[in-house]
Order: sequence, then structure tokens, then C-alpha cells
Amino acid sequence: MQIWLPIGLLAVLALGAVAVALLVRSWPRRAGLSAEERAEMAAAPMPALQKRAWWGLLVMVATLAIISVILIDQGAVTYWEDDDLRLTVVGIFIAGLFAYAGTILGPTLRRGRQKLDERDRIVLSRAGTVQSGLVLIALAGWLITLAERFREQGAIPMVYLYLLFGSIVLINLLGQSLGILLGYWMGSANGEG
Amino acid sequence: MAKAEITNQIRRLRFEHDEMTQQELADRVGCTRQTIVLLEQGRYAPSLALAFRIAINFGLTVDEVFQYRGTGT
Repeated sequence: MQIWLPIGLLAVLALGAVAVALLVRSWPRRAGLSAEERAEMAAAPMPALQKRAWWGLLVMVATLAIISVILIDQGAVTYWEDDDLRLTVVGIFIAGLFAYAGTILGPTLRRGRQKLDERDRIVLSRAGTVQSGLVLIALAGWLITLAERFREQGAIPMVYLYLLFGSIVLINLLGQSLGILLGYWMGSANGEG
Repeated sequence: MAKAEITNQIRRLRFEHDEMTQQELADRVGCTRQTIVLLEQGRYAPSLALAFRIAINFGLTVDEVFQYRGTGT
């Protein structure tokens, strides 16, 4: 097991947690809801996009977790040299992307049939802030980890290019789900247009 | 979730129109029930298009349904 991989993943998770905390602090604070208002909100059904974002988050967390466990257990070098292992990981990766497309991307593109109101669309568009933030943090995590791990060699093995790209794709989609859920939780997106 | 600077009469108007439910109004104007809940609580300011659709649904003008209580000019 390569020690640098879990350290890198932990660094990314820690940076992500800090970023989300800063994001929540920077957004308008929720004014206290009365008991009656809370009950009214609870009675209203969850918008379709919000439900799908929960599914999307579940799919992406599961995909990232499964791939991370395999890579941490087997190591990046084995992944690069073992064709069966590589095909398995790529298969899980693609399955995760298709599952995500089925939860959020597909219904979102078919807006005519899917009930997305103006508030849903604002929440969806603002989720991009969380996406780009998480991607930057993940890139920083990779940069620090790889630079420290291979400082003496002066070169980074090619396998990490693939791992870097794959992880960024998954984290980008994870960020979209997270951004949508944060948008609904904040609930302060006023109408535009 | 701060209160919006725009208040409205939607809740009263719903009751005056045969106690229309939030879901019925949401279906008529093309938004989710959650958006109607937030509008009635004064925690969401709608787009002009949605404001017009709501006003037309009640047979009123926008300024009869929505009021601006901000201090800006």
C-alpha cells in the first residue's frame, strides 16, 4: 500500500471541508424560522432537482469510495501494470458517470419534461461555484501530494495523470450535487430575469 | 435565509380564491410548491416573469400583489 495516496486523499478531504465551511460562512445567514414556518417547509414536497441531487451525491460518494479503496489497497503501480484491475476501475468509473447522468444531467437537459422552476434553475447555476472550488482544492491536494512524494526523483509516473484526471471528473460532479443541496439549504436565491 | 424586501398578498389571495392550495397555485404559475411557500413567508423575491404570472392568475396587477418595502430609490 502506498502511503502517499491516502495522505493525498486526506489532504483533499480536509481542504474540501475547510472550503465548504468558508462557503457556508460567506453566504447569507439563515434567519431563524418560526415553528409554523418550519412545519410549512417540511410539508412542502422536495423539488425534483433536490431529490436528484441527493441521489447524485450518493452515486458520486459511492463511486469515489469504491475506487479509492481499490487503489489504496492495490497501489497505483499495480493499477498501472495489471490490465484486469485497470479495466475494473475504469468500468466502475464509467458506471458511476452513467449513473450520475441518469440522476441529474439527463433530467436537467430535458427541461421541457422535467419540472424545473426558476428557483431550481438559479440553484443549479450557482452550484458551479462549489464545483469549481472543489476542483481547485482537489488539484491543490494532488499538486502537494505528488510534488512531495516525487521531489527526489524529479519526475511523476504517468499513472498519476490518469488518476488525477479521473478524480477531478468525479469531484467535479460531486461538487455539482453538493452545490445544489447547499443552494436549497440556504434557500436565499432570489429570482433573476 | 433573510427576509426579502418584497412583500406580497399571495396567502390572502389564495384564500379569497376558493381557498386555493399552494400546490394548485404552483401548478398554475409553473413553479414548485416550495417556491410558493418561500414566497408567502417573504423569503424569496420572484423574477418579474413569475410575479406577472401570479398576478395574472389572480386577475390583478403586479403592484396589487407585490409591494416593495426597501428604502432604496
